[in-house]
Amino acid sequence: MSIPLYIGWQRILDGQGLEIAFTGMFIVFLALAAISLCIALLPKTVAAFGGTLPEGPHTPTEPESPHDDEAVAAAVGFALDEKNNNR
Amino acid sequence: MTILYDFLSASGLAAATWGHGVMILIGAVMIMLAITRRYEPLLLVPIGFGIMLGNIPMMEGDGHGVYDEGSALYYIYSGVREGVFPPLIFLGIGAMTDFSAMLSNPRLVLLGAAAQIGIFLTLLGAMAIGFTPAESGAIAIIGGADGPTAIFLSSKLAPHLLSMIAIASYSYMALVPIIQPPIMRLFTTRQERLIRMAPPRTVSQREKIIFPIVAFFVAAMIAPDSIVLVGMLFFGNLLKECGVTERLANTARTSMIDIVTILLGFSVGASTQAEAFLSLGSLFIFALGVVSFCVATAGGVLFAKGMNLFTKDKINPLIGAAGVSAVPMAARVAQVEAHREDPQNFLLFHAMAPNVAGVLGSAIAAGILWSVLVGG
Repeated sequence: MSIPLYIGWQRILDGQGLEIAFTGMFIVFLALAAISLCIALLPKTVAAFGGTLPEGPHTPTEPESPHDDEAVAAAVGFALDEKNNNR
Repeated sequence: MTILYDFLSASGLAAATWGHGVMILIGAVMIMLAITRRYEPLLLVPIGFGIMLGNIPMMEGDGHGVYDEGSALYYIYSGVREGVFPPLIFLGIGAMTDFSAMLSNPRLVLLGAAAQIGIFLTLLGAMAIGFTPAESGAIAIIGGADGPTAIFLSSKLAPHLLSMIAIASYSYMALVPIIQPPIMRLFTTRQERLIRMAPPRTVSQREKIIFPIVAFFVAAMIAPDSIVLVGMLFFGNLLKECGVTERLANTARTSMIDIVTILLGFSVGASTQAEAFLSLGSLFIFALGVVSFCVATAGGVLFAKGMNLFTKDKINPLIGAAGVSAVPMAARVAQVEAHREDPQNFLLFHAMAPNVAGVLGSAIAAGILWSVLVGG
């Protein structure tokens, strides 16, 4: 890596720096403006198509996995065993 | 006696140079800053220790370093070299990010775009100094203030600069509370800093579920090369918001991101080499990085001021600085600065909108630079 100690406008032109910078900035703005627009339209989209989705945060009524039950049962069993042994 | 002599001549002391000493000192300072000042300890401790480990002088051919094929560190570092760790970090970030602030006030997304100007102006600066276009792109992404994005892009564009760019990026992220406030004060009046923003609207769970899917498609269609990072970010967010994959989301935002952060930070630190690190080139990289960061901060603040000329509901321009990404530190800095002027002004929620938009913006910018400059 050798870096000459002078600033070169020509280097920017040769490397198409201006085109890359302008195009890059334009695409970033375009993408985020499009996302912003989608967000603005989101409430209407949800009203039209989101009927099947849950309205509030998910509250599981059942354990997420049968292993959870087994883990709880094992813990309770261990605690009872410890209690009995201490008597 | 011969055995003792052989042992000493093969020890670290025999091969030590002043460069090793300086690098070990840098690593120690990072660890100290993390412990005593609490500057990004989750990153600086692994990186600092990695730097110390990577710069223990070894005799040639010992083969324990990150560049020695077959060594354990070589395989850990492959996650950085091949760009595997950054998308996994993005998955975790997605699983811990609440996009409510952005969803409740979509116009603030543009502040996250404006702050990316630091990246593209620094690209020009680096090219002018004499870096190749690919190297310039990798250096410029430091202005995105997003460590994983910087690592991802530099591993593709300029692998030989990766360790310097990663260290610069994480160092500046840790220094957000020091770098940003003077710029924020310089470009705003007291009146502007006192602006109180309207309370945000409530965002429904349905919106939160649909958003990552829609936003992913929009970003992927416009900037396809950003899908690796943006895709993982939104996938993680969908895991969080859909309500039926809580265990997966929980793993992504806790155990998984922690493991990847340890491996990434440690191996990036261990990849630093005194010969490459203590050079004029790395000084330029650090200087360009801080310029990039300052321009990005100013860009966000000035764009917010510009938006105020055309809108009725005024934006406190301090939150523009949060567009540089660095979640959630930059948003906290905006809150602290507003709080200094008016203790009853609470900007944190509003600042989170440009903050998370900045993450998106820098990932999209990285995708663009990758597609344009790869092989350059």
